[in-house]
Amino acid sequence: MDEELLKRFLEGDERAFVELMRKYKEPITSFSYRFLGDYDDAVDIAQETFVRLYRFAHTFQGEVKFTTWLYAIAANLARSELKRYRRRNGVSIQTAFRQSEDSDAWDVPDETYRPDERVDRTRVAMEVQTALMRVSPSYREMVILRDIQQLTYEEIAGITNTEMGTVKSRINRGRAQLQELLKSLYEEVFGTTKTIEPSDDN
Amino acid sequence: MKNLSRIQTPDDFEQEIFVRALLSRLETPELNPAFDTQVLRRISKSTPKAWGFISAVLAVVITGVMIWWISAPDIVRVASVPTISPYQINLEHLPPAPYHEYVVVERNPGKSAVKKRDHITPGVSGY
Repeated sequence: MDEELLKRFLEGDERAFVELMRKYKEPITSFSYRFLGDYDDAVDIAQETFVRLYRFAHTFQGEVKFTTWLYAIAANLARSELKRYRRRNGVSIQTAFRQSEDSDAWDVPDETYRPDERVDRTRVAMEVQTALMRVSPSYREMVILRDIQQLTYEEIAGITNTEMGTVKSRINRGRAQLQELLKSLYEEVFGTTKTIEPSDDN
Repeated sequence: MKNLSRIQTPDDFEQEIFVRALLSRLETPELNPAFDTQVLRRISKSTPKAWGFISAVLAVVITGVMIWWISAPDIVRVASVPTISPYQINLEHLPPAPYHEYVVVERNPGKSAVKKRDHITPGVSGY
């Protein structure tokens, strides 16, 4: 159990920390990569998450699950990295003008994303990741946590510090955006374009 | 049971399944075997607690000084200046006024011989 490992670590057992790191390094890197779209940045965020776990483990109060707490650290770091990235590179002139007035100006999809071939080697994976990057980051974050990381709505609400209703609506909006973006791909992959209408016999 | 109405699925029910299926097919990125070592190295390099404490104290002190410096009111010193009323002046025993002789500088030295002053008006200062 994670909380038990954390307790052992706080009592001085460094092996418990290593065990926690080995257990969660892949999910945390996966979340960071799907959110940021860059493998090197994702690894850096994941490593920094575990450094913070090491340094601030004593601040864990046990009000939420350990995984919620750990994902919250990673999500905050990933969001900050995305904002930094937008400031450095990907901000259009219009967005830059808006940025001074609108604190959510960073929350714009990346239309110029190129897939990282080190991770997404197949065409389907590349297209799905590209579509993910074209979803607004605040929706993308929640879709990744729900549909890729398989976390519960309650956990996602805890990680993103958002109301449950907002979590659900953002996930729905994110999925709706993905439906539009991936329409031709899933028609090709699943070989169907028609929805079978239920017979109206009631 | 026949009285219960049939549950309708949303219009995009299948599309949503397709999207979620595609998302679930995404692979987890492969990690460098040195990941653990790199994390442990970063931990050992990170700032020791003592330095963290010292820097925090310094930050508080510097911030305090800055706030004090910025918010401190402008000091206005009021010096009492003795005022002299006409009744306080002893007009009968005034000290002699100092004598100054003003030297007039001629602007046009060529005409100095023509416009020669007969006498120099002494200037008087004081009461």
